[in-house]
Amino acid sequence: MRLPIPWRNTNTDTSEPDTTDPASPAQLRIRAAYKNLAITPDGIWAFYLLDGVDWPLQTAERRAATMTDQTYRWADLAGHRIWLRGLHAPFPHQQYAKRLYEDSPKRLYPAQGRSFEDLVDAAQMHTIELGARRSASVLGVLVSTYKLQHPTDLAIVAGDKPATASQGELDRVRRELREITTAVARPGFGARPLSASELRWVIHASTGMGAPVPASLLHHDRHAISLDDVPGFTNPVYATEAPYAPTTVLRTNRESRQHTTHVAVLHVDDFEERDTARGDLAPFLAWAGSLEFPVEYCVVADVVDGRDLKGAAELDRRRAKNIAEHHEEHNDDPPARVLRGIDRAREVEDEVQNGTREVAARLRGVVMFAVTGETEEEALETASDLTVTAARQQGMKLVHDHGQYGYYRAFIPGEECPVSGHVTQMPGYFFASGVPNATSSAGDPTGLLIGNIAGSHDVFVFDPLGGTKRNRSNLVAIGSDPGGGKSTLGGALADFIASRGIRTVGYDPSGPWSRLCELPHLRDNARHLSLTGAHRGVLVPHLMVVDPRPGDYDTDAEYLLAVEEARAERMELAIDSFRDLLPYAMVSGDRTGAIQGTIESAVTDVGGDYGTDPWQIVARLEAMGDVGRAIAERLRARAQLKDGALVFPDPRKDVDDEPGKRLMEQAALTVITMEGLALPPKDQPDRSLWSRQALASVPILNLGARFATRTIYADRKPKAVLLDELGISTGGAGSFSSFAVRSSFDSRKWHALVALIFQNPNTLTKLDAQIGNLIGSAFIGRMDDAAARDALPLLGLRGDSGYHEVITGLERGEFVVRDWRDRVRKVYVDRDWWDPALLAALDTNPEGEGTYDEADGIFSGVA
Amino acid sequence: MAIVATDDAARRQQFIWLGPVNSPWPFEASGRAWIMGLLLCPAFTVVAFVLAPRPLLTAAMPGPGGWLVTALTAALLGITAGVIVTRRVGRVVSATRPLKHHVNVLLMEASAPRDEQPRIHMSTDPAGLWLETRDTRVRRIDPPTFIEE
Repeated sequence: MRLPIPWRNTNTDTSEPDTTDPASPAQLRIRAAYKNLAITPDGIWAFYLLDGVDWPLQTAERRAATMTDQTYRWADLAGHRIWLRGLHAPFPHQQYAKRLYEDSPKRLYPAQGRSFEDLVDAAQMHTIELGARRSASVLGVLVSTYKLQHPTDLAIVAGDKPATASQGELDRVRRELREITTAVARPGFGARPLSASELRWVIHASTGMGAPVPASLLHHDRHAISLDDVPGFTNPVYATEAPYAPTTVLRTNRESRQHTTHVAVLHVDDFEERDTARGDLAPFLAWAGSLEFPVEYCVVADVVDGRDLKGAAELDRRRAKNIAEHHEEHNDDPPARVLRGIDRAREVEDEVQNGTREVAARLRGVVMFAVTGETEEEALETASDLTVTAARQQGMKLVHDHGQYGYYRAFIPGEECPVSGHVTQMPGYFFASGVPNATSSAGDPTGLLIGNIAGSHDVFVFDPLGGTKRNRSNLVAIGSDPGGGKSTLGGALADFIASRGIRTVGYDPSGPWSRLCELPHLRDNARHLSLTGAHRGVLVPHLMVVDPRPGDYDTDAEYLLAVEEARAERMELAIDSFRDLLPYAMVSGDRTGAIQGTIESAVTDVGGDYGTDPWQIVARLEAMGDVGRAIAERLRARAQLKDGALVFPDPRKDVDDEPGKRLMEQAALTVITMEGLALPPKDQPDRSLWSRQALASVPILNLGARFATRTIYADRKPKAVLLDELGISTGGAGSFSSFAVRSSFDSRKWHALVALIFQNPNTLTKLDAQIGNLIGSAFIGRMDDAAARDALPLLGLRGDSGYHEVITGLERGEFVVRDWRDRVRKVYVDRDWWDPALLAALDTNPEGEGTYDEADGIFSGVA
Repeated sequence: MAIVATDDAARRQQFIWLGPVNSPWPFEASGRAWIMGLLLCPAFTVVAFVLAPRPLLTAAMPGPGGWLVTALTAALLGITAGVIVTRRVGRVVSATRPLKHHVNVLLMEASAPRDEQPRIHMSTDPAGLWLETRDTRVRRIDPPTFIEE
């Protein structure tokens, strides 16, 4: 006969279940709920969802302001008991995929290769494999200890209208609720009431901790639900516990599948002092979401007005003093602990007696963390890891106590929390340093799955047209050192956008992106356009800026202004192009400005009408004296060369706009390259050190980029233009500024993604100091120290913030990303789920590349 | 205010009564331990007196002598037991885990789901699905009643 072991969850009974015995009377303490309100034996609870506050890569001032705001918020809740709960939910891959699919009505249906559906599936599967999840903070406030007689009275409490005279107590509760709702909605919390569905989710996630919450349990639109609506509201959770067991065992049935979870709850027994100015010290509550294993937390505390603690604080001080005196009576030195106690007691007494309301406010209660595992051993191992990590990273001493079942119940909304041990009393400003709602989440609800966000388990999703949707610039800057992954990311973006059936133009003078056109799924919808092999006059400057259309403007005045701006920009482009077509020695020696002035005069005399023949300008130059004739002579000579011929059409023919129009007609991917052109060195901004061929390529590269950006103005449908920096930086400061300003505004207005891919941020920041304000999003990869400092404005970060070290410390494929809402995160570009054909097309590594092992040969012995 | 701390350093002070220098316990202990010890000693003494083999002692030493030996033995045993128990309890009782916490945990463990809990029928969807209900140390968390709008 096998004897049962009382401290083990043994189960030797294999008989069929007995279905006749009545259920145990144990129930949730929430007896009724309406919207975010719930009735329990304690009184009426209100539950709120805290809005996320930006934390990673923020300035010290911003973080301090957040903590100050939260200090005020806790003080606002003085006199109430709070229940603060940190949960996490899996990344909503179904909603992500559904929305992405619905947002791509013109997706391609390739005959071969990966389809768009395959891409969506692969992204979903990858988020599941990564175990992507997001954190949330729910705040419960015990509004009143008033015992409602009728559950339907909750509707009166939640209503906007005052209660009748006979319902005075209800009206008092209603006013109290309004005050709390207003207080928690203020900065720092930005909280909103939970919906009935969200409250149900929290109860499900808490009762069946560690098990998924199926959406089928939540699909109800009404503010309140009945048991009949949701068969098995907590369906069904079975908590099992042996006497003095280290974990509580939950057997949770979800959609006919049973999940067994062991839950271990740990208490914070002691907090060390915290230096809130330390940038590397994560908030002690939000920190739980950054660990590699899932950790949930629960804080149950009474918020006490400091004035109510005067007597207790005085007693603490006197007691500590008395203890020290007692040691002295015995000719013994008081322990350091006692002396620290005296000092702290003196500070506490001063704060509660003389401090302002927010400084005096205290929270008294317990802080608990919960970990789960499929087996008891796994849960305890995780608990052990958490204890060590908490001590090392946060200075928190965690203890694992008995009574686990009672503490597990405390994680469920409305349940009673045993507050007999591990009680801590902390000032509001200390608890504010926990910042429960500090979030690492960023990115868009749908778009291209980029990869994991550092410091969290969330994934970054990038919507290439997210700026337009937020009515702001859709200009994105992507930069890194060579090999940092910028071209790969740009290529993946081009592939993703083109796969959605959105017109995409990639301008890549050096040519690697041309391989994208050979991908099986894009082959039928892509075109590689090599401008160096194009016919004469394809890059006539006066064709590169299209004429505005009257229908695109609200008023005639706006239209006329746009026409004038377009004329002026064409002339500027022509001046820059003609100057750069001249030999560098000739232009750089122009100290008096005669050459520049002559070109300007000739161009402005001819005008800036669309399609103006550049030979007219040459003819005008010839009539402008010796300098003009010399310039015209050089330009005629240049027009005989292969690259110059792209700017000057055949003198016997009219200007032909056909190539530009064909570009507009492209439905999917067009890659424009400049094969055979000697490209300028990207890491050498000083043009005097460039070769003659590199200097000669400058105007062609710039005009090529202009040719590509014509796509922006094709129509108001979504589109994307991805440009290599060479095309922009070669235009010079004036040309770049006008491009940046125009792209910033027009990308939004014309529903276009304009991506600028660069190697050295200097080329952008020095050409236009305001570039940080003009771009909507940025991806900054690994760079050296000086370049990293220059890149900070692109991320919207201050140059002295010290975050350049984050950029210099990035690994290959990692980027610091500024999303469309200016949130900055460190993100890993995850290529594991990409199509193998795409990976092969974007692989720019030389053949035979390998890695060195520093330990190679050390332990191989002497031959 | 970059450095912040809880109030626990001030609140978790415990008065330790110091005895004569170079003396072992019980002279150095918290006030509560002293009180507990004083209370436990007479309690254990009474218990020891009741349990002592009085008929044997009175038979061996008739008259008041037997009673006196019994009383002295009981007092000795009672004080020893009080000291041992107080010292054992003093090790686990702290500012963060006071005595009432230990009592509370004891009660929580006593009221947690146990083998003697009645067997229950799990409601499942779809109905009739066989679930593992053989382990009787389970307790169902019943749902709250959500009211209609």
